[in-house]
Amino acid sequence: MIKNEDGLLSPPLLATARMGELLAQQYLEGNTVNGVKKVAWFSSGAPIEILQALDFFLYTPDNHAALCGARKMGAEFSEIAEDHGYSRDICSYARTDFGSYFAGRTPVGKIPRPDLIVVSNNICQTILHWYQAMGAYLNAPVFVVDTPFLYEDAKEHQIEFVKMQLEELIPIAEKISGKKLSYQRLKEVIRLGKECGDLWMEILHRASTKPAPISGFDAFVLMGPIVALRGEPSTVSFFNDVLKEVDQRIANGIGAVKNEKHRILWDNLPIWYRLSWMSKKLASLGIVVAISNYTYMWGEPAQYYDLDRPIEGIAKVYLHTILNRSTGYKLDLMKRMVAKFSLDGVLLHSDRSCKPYSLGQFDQATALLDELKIPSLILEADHNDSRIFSEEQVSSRLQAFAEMMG
Amino acid sequence: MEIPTRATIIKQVKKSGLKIAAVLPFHYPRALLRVYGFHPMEIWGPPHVDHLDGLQHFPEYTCKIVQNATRFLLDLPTATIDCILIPHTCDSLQGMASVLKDFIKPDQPILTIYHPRGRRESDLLFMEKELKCLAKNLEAVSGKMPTNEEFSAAIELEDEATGLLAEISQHRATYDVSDREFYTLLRSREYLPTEQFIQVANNVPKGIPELKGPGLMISGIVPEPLELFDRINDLGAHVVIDDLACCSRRIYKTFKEADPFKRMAKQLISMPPDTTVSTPYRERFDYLTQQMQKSHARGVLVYNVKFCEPELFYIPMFEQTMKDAGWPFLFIETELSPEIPQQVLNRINSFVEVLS
Amino acid sequence: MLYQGIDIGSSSCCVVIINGKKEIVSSSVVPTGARNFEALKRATREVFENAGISEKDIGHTVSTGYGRERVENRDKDISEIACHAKGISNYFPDTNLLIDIGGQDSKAIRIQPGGKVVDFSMNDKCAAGTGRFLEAMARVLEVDIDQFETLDAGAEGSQSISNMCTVFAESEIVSLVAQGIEIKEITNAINRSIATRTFSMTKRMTIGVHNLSVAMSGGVARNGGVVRMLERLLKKKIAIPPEPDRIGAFGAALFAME
Repeated sequence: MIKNEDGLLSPPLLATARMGELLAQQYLEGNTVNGVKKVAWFSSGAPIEILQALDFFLYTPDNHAALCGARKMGAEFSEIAEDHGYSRDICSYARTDFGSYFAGRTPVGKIPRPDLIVVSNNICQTILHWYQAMGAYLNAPVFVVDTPFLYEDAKEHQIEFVKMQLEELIPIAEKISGKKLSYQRLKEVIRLGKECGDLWMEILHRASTKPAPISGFDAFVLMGPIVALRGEPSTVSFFNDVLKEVDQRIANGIGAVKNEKHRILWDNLPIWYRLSWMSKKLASLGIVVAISNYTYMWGEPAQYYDLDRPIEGIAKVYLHTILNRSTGYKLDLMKRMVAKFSLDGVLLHSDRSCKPYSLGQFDQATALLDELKIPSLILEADHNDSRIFSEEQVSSRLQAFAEMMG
Repeated sequence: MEIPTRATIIKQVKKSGLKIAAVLPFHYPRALLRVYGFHPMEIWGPPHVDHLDGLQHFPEYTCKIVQNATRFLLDLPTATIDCILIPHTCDSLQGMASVLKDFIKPDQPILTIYHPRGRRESDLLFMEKELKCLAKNLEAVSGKMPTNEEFSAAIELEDEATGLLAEISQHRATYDVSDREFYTLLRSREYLPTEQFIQVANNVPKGIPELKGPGLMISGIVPEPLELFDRINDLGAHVVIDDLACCSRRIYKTFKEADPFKRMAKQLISMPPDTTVSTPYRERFDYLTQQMQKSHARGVLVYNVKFCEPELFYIPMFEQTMKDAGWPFLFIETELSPEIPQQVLNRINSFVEVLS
Repeated sequence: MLYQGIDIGSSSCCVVIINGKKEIVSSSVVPTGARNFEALKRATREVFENAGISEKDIGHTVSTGYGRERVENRDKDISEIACHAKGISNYFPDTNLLIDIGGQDSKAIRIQPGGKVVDFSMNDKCAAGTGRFLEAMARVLEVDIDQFETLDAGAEGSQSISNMCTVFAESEIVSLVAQGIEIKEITNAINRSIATRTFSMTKRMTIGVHNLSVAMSGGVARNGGVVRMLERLLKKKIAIPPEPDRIGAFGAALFAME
């Protein structure tokens, strides 16, 4: 048993600092953008290509909430939201964001007011309620891109529905932005979006090497731009740099975890307020999170972009987010990841305030054990509410999990 | 007012040769099921389900409607129901349908229906096609291929029942029945064959009910157990207006259209402002304020199923809006236990005292 | 050569010493409260005194439980899941399902022959379904917790506790007593409450297991009422080791031997 937990991890990628700058710049611009550009809020899974092509300044409350979580402000903001009547049983991202709004405080300086809110339920239904609430508080128009849930493969009428909604969005967004949509510009945005998505997948897939040059925790941190700055040239350039640095690590045989013994998949959202602790704890047990389906989600559907049929392509991309797919599909994906990334186990974060991700985990765990003979760990916690986290209990379970993997 | 129980109806329906579709909450096309030879039996829980084989498919923070319904369905003898229909109401029912389809795989087919969240052109067109998709699935199970006339007849019948439901809900104060009897009637729509519901609804005793004290609006998902209404009456209040998912939120508008799918689609997306379709907040609260004013209700009681997120998001602004208008507001959570906990009764008691 | 296993939990601290033949030479359980290292010192002292040994007779030490990483003289620390599995397999080698109901948590552990852990599920979020629940109920009924085993003799099982929460269940019991419900029915309901909660947690661990062979550990294993109900629910006889609340420390000692 290693008593001293230092020196277990390789130093963070140099690119991490640059990513921090990219996001900080975006937030900084947001501090003074009202009156300069039109502002669109979007849910992390919402289609933003039309908005980008119309030069909206883009802001996503999801990213802001995750940032607050990572800065350990989730519990404090949740309490403020609860004081205002919001239940502890709703999504902790929403509670964090409500709390920040009521308190008038945010780690990003000042949040730009929206001229338009675009929300898609391709990650959950809860997000609709959250964004409709913000629309009511801020008196801003809310446009819903309704993505029917895919219990099976996507059907024609489902794709058609999303496409029609995108077409309905165009005149609304044009009116608010005061500009006319250029299809040329839209295609350029799509091309960059696809490039971002493809690059992101390449980066994630590099972790199939042994030892994994980057871990899921690196990816949780690096995913900021793919969520908030998707389709930006700066993101493409950034990811190219990340890939170069990762390839350098592979060439030098450097692993994210120095004594890599076990490789696992992380299912569900990260535990934002304990990223460093979890990373070190797992590393002390010789465990590297080689891949997570949460990070994978931002690149996997990029394959559906279509420059010849731009709107239809966008419709398919956003219909096929992993969270909009069945529990059976998620299991298949996990099985493919076990093979591709040579995994020894699966950690299923039973996230108390994310039902769409957490329901189905028990059956998935049973299937993984029965069909692939690999152990899983169900870990009860929450993505943003640190009051749901018990260090001792988590520590106990992680150790038992490591022992199960041998 | 004699209303048969669910058990009696199941036997009766099976004898008549109809198939039974177990339907989860809560927006779904009754007429479509009917025309393909399915009688819908809705499952809202039920309360106090014994977990006979102990198997847990869902974590503890999943609502009891999903937990109990799953348990209940799996414990029923296979021959009782012919298919299970799960509308896409929320994240939890989404999970339930997916887990049933992909993992549990009961003998009965699991059918789903997605009702869109808006009332735009795109929503209407999608609803139409989604209904056609469901129709194909129902045809595969039943082997039926209904004519246009059969469609019209089925829709007309459901429209008649919906009309009665609307009439009864809006004029509660003209029916001489206790609140419990009233809700027993409203909730019988969940399982009574439509003709029988129409008959019962047409024969509710008219008159001024003997209900004392302040009138309430009741909102939320499902009032279980029905004893809740006896207790509300005992504590000195009564219900004058309803905003429950199982009752008034399914008072759809009726339309005349030649094409039955277009007609059903228009209707299904015309529900009153509802949290599960994420109706914009202002629209929902304006509607509820109107309801309060029309009915002269003096306060609002929300009876929610624990962990039901669609309701929970609206509660703070709902409460604020009502309180600003001078109406006291009480929020209660239930885990569908067969008895009402004493703590809940205490709170209702205090609330009624405030109103009186 | 002797080997020491220390299970330092949140409600009690247990020390077990075994010899090279896996026989328990001495053991001691001390309730912890807030000062669990005081309890550890006391337990260690008792165990050494009873066996007539001292620190230098101990070859290796393994610690387990929540406080395992803070035991300074340990050679290794191992999870309580693995230690419980190890310990029970020594008594009942065929065990493939271990149910442990302790003071503050309950676990279901799926075990392979040889004692290796394959899967586990835990309830450590809520007092209901643990020894703490029984303590609270015993207080309300003003009986000794040991009496729960016999107090339900002859009960028909007509009563149920509907509340999931321990605090609310307490008030429910108070009202049952006030209504004049017989103590045997109330006790029966209490035992059943723990059994059904445990059963729900357990069932997932039995999927795909042929020839289920069940054992129990933890203080609540001494409550025959709960055990009988679990046997009925699982449709299997449950094997109970001597000193069921010391299995974790015993397993740790076995690991120390290896």
